[in-house]
Amino acid sequence: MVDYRLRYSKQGELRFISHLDLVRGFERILRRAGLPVAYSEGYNPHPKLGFGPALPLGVESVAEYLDMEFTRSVDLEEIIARLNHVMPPGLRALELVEAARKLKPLTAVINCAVYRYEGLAAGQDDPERIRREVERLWKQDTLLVTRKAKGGGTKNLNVRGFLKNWQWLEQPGSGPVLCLETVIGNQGTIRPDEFLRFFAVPIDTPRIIRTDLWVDDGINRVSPLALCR
Amino acid sequence: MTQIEEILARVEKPSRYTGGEWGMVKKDWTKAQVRVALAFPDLYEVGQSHLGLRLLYDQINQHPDYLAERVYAPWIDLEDELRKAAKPLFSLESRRSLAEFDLVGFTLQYELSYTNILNMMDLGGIPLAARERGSEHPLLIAGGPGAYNPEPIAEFFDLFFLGEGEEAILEILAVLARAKRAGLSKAQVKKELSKIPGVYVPEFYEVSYHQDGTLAGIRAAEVVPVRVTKRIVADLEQCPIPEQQIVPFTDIVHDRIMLELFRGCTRGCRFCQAGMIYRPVRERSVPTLEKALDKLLKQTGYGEVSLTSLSSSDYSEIRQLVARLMDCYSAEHVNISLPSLRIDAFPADLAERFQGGRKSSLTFAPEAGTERMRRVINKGVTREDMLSAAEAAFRGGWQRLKLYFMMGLPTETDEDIIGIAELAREVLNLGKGIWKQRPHAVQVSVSVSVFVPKPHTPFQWRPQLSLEEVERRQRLLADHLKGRGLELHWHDARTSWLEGVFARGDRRLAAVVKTAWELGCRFDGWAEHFRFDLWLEAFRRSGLEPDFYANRQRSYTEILPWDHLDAGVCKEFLQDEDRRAEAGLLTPDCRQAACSACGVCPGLQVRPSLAGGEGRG
Repeated sequence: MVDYRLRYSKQGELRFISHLDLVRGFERILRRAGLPVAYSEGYNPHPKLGFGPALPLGVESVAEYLDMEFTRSVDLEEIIARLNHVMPPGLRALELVEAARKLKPLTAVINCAVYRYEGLAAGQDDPERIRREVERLWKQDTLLVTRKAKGGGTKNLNVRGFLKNWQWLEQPGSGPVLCLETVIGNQGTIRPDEFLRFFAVPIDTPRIIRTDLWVDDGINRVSPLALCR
Repeated sequence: MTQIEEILARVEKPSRYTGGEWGMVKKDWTKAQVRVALAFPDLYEVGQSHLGLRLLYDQINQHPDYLAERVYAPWIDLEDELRKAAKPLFSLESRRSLAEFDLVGFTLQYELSYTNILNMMDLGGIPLAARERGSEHPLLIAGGPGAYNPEPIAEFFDLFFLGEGEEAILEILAVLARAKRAGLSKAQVKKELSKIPGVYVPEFYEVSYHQDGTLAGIRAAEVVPVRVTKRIVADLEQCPIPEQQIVPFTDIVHDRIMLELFRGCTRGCRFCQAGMIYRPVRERSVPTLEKALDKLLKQTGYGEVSLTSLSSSDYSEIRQLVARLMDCYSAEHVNISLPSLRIDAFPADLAERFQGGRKSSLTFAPEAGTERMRRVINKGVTREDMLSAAEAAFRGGWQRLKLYFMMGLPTETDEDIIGIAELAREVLNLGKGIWKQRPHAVQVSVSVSVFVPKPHTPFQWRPQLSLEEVERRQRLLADHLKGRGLELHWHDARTSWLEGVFARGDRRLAAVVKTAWELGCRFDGWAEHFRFDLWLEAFRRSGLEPDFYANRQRSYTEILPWDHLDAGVCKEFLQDEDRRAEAGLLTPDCRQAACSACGVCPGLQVRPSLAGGEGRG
């Protein structure tokens, strides 16, 4: 058995495909690619795949990760080429590493997600107001969202603690681009669209892209691929 | 972001509308000579599962000059958004409105989708009535089983097509391509198209009525065939199986490869419209099926195949086929499933292989509770057949059996209803005897639908059971079917009744469909959207009596609204079968016994063909 870790992108219209649908989609992609995926034992065998943290519906990404177990070793470039040959437009295999050791699941190690908001101020006269609004939000102690509670009903959750950092980039033509760094993982997260709901000033519906998922130990942050080496 | 993108971001399951799936064909809009929208009047999850449209999609897009795109009914949330934004309903492939296509084809799978058809036309920017549409509008065509009596929606369509469309669609598109180049008027185009066998242009036929509401006559008002006969593909072996199939992202109703083993069924169940209109039986050979499946598995990446047909275990080489497929694919984790199992031919060993080790539940369809009733419907299954099949299933490892029945079959008495409960209990006790250690794990679930008499069947003259009587018999059954391990499900009697009204309806019902849609009826087949009150209001406004259509015994001499439409099975055969039903006489399957003279073979100049060679009859 050989373990691989893949980085892939999910862009364009594929942002409308849910995580669950993507999981099913990948099983079929791997079959089409003719790659020797290992299957679990039992009555209902399923391919041994391990996905990273779910990408919210409507959000694009260039930093999605997938762990795959194969029954035999295959050349890395060949795997990438075969995957890209059978992926629907919008999905793209980008980087692949063979695991040199037993890997912890992606969802157990990834704890930081970075999102880019493009076009937030595309139609606004005063982009500065949006910058000031982010600063104002950052000074809040509590930012409450309403989530569905287990077993029905709803609960309020303070998501302020999941905001780690922000930064503005200048992008010629489309105005300022917001980069938001958030906590993700078992302890909880703030969804990128949830953050926008706190804005008290008018904004445009932005394109949101997950640009990075990191494994951050408080001192260093590394890519999930780096853990394989 | 475009407005549509913003809307899509707000609606439930946007992937219903975005397309972009693996296997989707997106052709150059500007280069196509004729552009076709294939429309299914229900949600993506239902419509994308439909084999017929998959075949047409492939057939049209294989042709260099034509293009086909898909359109499904928008769920309520998207409809609201589209109407608010004044945006038209669009195709999945290139997001064009329905009105931009040359031909819009709907499939008529069930009567309760008619309001969705009107809704889709309206959202697509197409005037509803055919006579209100000019050359600037697309031609509207519909096919599928509903086309064998499309009269209640005839005024909304330019054309209907009867039968299997793979060959005819290219003939139709060739006429449209020529007509576009020559700049023919809509009337001229329809005239040209009416020359294609299987094409029915309703406006060329005039219908008149007697005082009592029955038909006085159907007159061909133009030089067109007096009767339109269905088309079939005579040699299925030569009819290509698509090598591509769209692989949806979202979980659809039939999310697997559908491998069509054969068409037609000559079991001759007297209630079954499919068994009458899809005749004769034409099987594909094992090597043809194997080859096609191999390509499809590689192209789609699906891990599941359904061997589809009207009654797949009747495929003459089913054992050879299953054995071959198991040998080839079991190591590759490909599941093979059979959608329906017959009781009298229940191959326990086969079923075991099909389920791939999983033994959740097994479904049988005895259809009726007593042997007398089963003889009436020509389902020659005995009590012993049923019990031995159930025994084989329980011994084979199943604990849960599902039994399908119908209520309201002709000549049905309370004894037949109680017979359903008795049969279920016998099956349950049998299971408990076999599963001695865990008798409580044994479950028999009984599902009872209401019989709806359909056109072109031996029961087309029979009255449907009234709503009140259905409710009484349902209570009767519930009283008799009680106890641990027994479960009872039934369909809403009101939807079956409405289905019955339209199944045998005439052209006057168009006003009811239109009014119901205007009142807000949508997705009538979905329990949460079904508005019986609005339908009753629509009937009230039209002045038409729904019971006239659903609950009336017709005489053999009455002119039926579909008498000018020919499914190949002749009226004499249907009448004869109706009389034999009354007498409780069985008519054997022509695959094993003598020809039953249904009229299909001489009428269409075909022969039944079985995978292993000629028919045995």
